[in-house]
Amino acid sequence: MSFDSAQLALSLPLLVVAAGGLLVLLLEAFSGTPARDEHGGRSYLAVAALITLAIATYAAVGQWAEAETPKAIYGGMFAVDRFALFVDVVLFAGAALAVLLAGGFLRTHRFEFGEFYALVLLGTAGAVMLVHANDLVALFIGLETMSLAVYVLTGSWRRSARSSEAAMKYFLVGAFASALLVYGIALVYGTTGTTNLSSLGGLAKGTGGAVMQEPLFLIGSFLIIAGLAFKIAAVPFHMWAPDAYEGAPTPVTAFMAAAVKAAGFATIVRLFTVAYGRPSLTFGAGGWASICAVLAILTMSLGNLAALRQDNVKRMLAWSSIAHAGYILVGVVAMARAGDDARGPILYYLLAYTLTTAGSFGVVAWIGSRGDERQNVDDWAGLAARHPAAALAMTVLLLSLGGFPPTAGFFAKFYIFRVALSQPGLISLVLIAIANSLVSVFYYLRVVTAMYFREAHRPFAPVRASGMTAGLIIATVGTLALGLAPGWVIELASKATLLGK
Amino acid sequence: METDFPLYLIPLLPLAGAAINLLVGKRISRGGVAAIACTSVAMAAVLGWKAAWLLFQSEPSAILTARFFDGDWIHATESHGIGSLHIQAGLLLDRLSAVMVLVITTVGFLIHLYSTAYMEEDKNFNRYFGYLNLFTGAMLILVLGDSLPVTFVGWEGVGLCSYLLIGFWFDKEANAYAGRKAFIVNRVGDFGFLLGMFLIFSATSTLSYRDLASQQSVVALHHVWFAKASIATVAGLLLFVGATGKSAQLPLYVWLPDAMAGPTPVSALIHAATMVTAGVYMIARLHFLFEIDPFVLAVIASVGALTALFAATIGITQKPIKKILAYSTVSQLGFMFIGVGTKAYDAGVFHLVTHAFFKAGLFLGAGSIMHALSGEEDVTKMGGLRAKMPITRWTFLVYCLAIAGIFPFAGFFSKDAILAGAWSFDVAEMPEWPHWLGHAIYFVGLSAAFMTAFYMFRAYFLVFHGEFRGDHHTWDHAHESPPAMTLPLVVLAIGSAALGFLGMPEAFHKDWNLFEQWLVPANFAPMVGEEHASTEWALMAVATVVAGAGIFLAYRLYYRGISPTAVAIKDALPRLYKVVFNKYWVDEIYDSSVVRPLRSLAFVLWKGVDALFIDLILVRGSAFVVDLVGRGVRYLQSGDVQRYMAAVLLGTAAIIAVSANWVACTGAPFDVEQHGADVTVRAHGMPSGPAARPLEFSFDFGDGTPPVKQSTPTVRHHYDVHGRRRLTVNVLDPRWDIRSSDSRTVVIP
Repeated sequence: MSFDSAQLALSLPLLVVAAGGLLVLLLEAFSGTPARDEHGGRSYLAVAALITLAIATYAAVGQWAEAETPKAIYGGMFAVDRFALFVDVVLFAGAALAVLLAGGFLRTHRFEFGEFYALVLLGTAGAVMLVHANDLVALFIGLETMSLAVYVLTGSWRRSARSSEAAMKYFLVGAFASALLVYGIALVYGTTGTTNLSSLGGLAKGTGGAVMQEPLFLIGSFLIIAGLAFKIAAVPFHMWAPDAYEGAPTPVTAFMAAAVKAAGFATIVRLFTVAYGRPSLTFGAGGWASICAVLAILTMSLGNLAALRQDNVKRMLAWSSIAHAGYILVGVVAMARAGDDARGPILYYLLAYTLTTAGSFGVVAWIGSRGDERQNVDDWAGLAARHPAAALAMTVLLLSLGGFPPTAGFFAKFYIFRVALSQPGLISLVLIAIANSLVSVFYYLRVVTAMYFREAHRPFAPVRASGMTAGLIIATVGTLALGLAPGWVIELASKATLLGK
Repeated sequence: METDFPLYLIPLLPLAGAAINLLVGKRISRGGVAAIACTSVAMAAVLGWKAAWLLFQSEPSAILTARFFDGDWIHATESHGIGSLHIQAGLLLDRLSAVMVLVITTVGFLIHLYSTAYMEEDKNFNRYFGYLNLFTGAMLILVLGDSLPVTFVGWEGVGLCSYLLIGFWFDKEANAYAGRKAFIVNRVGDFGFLLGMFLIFSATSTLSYRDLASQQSVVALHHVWFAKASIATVAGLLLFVGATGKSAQLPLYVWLPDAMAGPTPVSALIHAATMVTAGVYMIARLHFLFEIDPFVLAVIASVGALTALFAATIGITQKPIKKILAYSTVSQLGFMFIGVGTKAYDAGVFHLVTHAFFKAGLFLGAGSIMHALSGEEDVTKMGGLRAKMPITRWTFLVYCLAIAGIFPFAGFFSKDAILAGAWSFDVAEMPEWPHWLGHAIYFVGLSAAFMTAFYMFRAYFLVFHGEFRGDHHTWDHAHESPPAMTLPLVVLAIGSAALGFLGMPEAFHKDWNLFEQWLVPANFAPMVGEEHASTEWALMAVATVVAGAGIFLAYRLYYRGISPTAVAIKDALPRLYKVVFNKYWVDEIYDSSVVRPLRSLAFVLWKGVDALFIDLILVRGSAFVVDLVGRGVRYLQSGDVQRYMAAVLLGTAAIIAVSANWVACTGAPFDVEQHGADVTVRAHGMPSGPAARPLEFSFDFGDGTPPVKQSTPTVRHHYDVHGRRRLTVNVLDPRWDIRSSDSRTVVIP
């Protein structure tokens, strides 16, 4: 394996985030602030994290032109292509929003410790590695790096019993899913003799593809699918999600719902496109697209039906995020037939969804005060009269989640459904997705009506922090801007090249 | 020549003002709100003038372009590349849009200034100016858009602002209704606009004005759509439906008189000077499309002429001053459509400009009068105000002279140009229309011009001359308006008096029609069928005499209040008066023919579909399902990690189990083809693709012969026996070692 500076330069986004994470960790150690001082004074760490993410974004954007021709580095383990770079930027945006939201939230609830920001960066580094991974081993390492950071972040609010409980559950079920994944990787390696996605793809195209019909290989693949379905919280691998999302500190929830999910989907897209390109592996017996279609239907339907009954806004958004995974899975299914045409819509969805969901969890983080998180929908009544800007932002974000024009969420769904409709046999899937979007409007608008048409029964004391305000403005304006001018993003996304394709 | 210029700043400045005033305006002082609103429009005006100056210095075909952002705004590709849609958020300033931008920003600024005093007392000061700025921004997007969709964004934006401002005082129910009426009637027009746009796109694959004007697109638009109608015919008529909505022409004019429920400066800006001219602008912008089928042009001119006359007759009988002005606006817009419909585009647009000045002035003057009389609107209860309000009076007189078309005021030149264009309108290419169509339109327009002069001076004399007919409290209270209101009146009066000289007829001097020289070489083909100077002189003379006659009649009937003769005329024609006074009962006709049937339908839908089907079956039914699922989810989502893990495990197991059984179970079912005792059995087999290890089939024919074992799914067999036999196919998937079978009975003859 050759190892030179050119390869290092190509993996710059990953290196920047990882180095930034370590630096932030060290910064706190040498800063002189008493290590367990609860009263904050660590905004400089948030700034350092934001600068890191900005540099990483710059590095990723700088590689865009070069990455038109995909490259594989580090012995073929690490792909550098536009697809990965696009998702990188989405991840950095999600992480930056989480950092912006975190400052005020952590200070309000008195647990602003330095490792928080470092963990967000390290988790992002894991996600970046996952997105670039062109090898099952690299994929696994990236996934674990990301997951471990997020487990800790979920439990970082140590005084909150729910936070600890959520972290424990997330970790236990996560470990279980990781075990399935690694076992699946072992089986795939055992039958094919390779863990490299490109090699697997080559195998699928050539005559050696017969081995890909073997039970051991298929079982291995199913286990990998199960492991990844766990990460994107697809039904029935979703059950950890509502508890973990609800219990985690809200900025962490935003990070999980946005970045972790985006990384999971990017991995699924890469894995299926590169390694499982063979038509007989898509639909029919053991085909991943057939499995994804069933998962999509289950995920959308159950996610929405469960969200309907939630009175807790945060938990409702958690279920809604499960439902959204179902919509993206429709795009993944469409990818089996539409190929490259479906990748642009999926990327657009990931970006739109990251901004929207991080923003909406941001408002949830904003509205609470110390000792009172105000998560019940009744607690949101009358918000519009007292805080019109926040209510407007939440309305825009919820409308985007529900898929109303002119928000990002509308075009995200529109592009996905359109590409699915252009493929034969997927009409019923799209119809189910549309019916689900209709149902979802009910619980999104329930919050809106509470904010606008009901009287507040107790005064609001929301978090006041400039970082949080900035984050909410960026998310809301971004959601609107993507919806008003979707053209250039979808154009960019449709030009995203993928290694091995 | 195409030059980049930050045109996007022109609409963005007022939009930024709107954002500030609407979002945080409550926390800013009234002075601050007014300053932000006026400054943003003033800055847009300065930029507009600068851009126009750049155009002025370049050759006629020069344009300025800009984009809100790089890349596509709307982007859609089909897999085969046909019907790809690439629309950029692009702006375009040529000489036509430059005229519009200057009118919008200049007149708009004056009206903003006027509003600072007029709306002083209103408690929603910031909301008012936010909407007004929003309107200005949307209107600028409308005229600057370089494609139909961008224009449509502005088109809908101004519609929204119009609705919001008509119903600005929505605590009075009538105002809210008026806003709604305007919105709904405009939807009808907008629907036509949209359909037209779709049709054009389906034919040409583009919506940008410059691409549409290309030879290729024009050829595509010539294609026959159905019967004898070309795409251009249908699309042109559909777009014109949109124009009749926005520009208040027959049959969709009904919203405009009611729109007077809004604050008076709004009527001046939106419902006189700018928004309602959008239809005229759109036709001038797409003139090449409308010219493809002259039939459409003739429709436009005829509708314009009928509207001009129809609204003018109603204007004669109205009493509230704003209603008189509203019908006058409908009528004058009709004149503009005569202009663009008879290919006298420069005349139509020129009248648009002069009208913007004198009609905005008339409305602001009316506002000044109402301001002085504590909101009194009825001209029959006014009188003698010339003593109390000298500035309002003199400026009002200038506007009246301008709209009546008295030399040398602006309206004289623009109306004359339109009537001259109608007179020389060439219908040779249109066998469907009589050859005297142009002359007919001319005479209808002339009659409308006569009535215009009459009803405007009726209003003028009733307001400013004679004795005051209201109560003395109002009279004592009457006063001239503050400078912020009179200054715009004076500026607009200067414009109404002097602007006409920009468009002097060729009869005066062949190089003096500056407006035509500015617009025609750049945007339109040169006018055909120019009249001789002698004809032009004659037409001008006739127009002047007719206008003078109208004024003279008004003078005789109304100079000293409502004369007994006027009352006698009214009493002599009771039926006619009643019909016209009640506006031909058009609103009532629409009410019984459109509104009521729709209401009945809505009632049926409400009771039948909504209450019975949706509420009872869908809502209750789905609530029941949701409840059931919710209980199930709650049971599973118990919080036990063990249960969560079990779900993961079961899910994985289910995937494996279903997949493993899939091939064998779907491979076994078979089709039978029978010819007497010969049967062909085809098992479904593997769905697709080569398999690692093929399926093993075993066919048992049920006639005692040994089963046939093979790896292909098709087999032939000849029965030597008769009667009913059981045919069975067994399938083994060797990969998973899973078996499956299917059987059916065959009857052997």
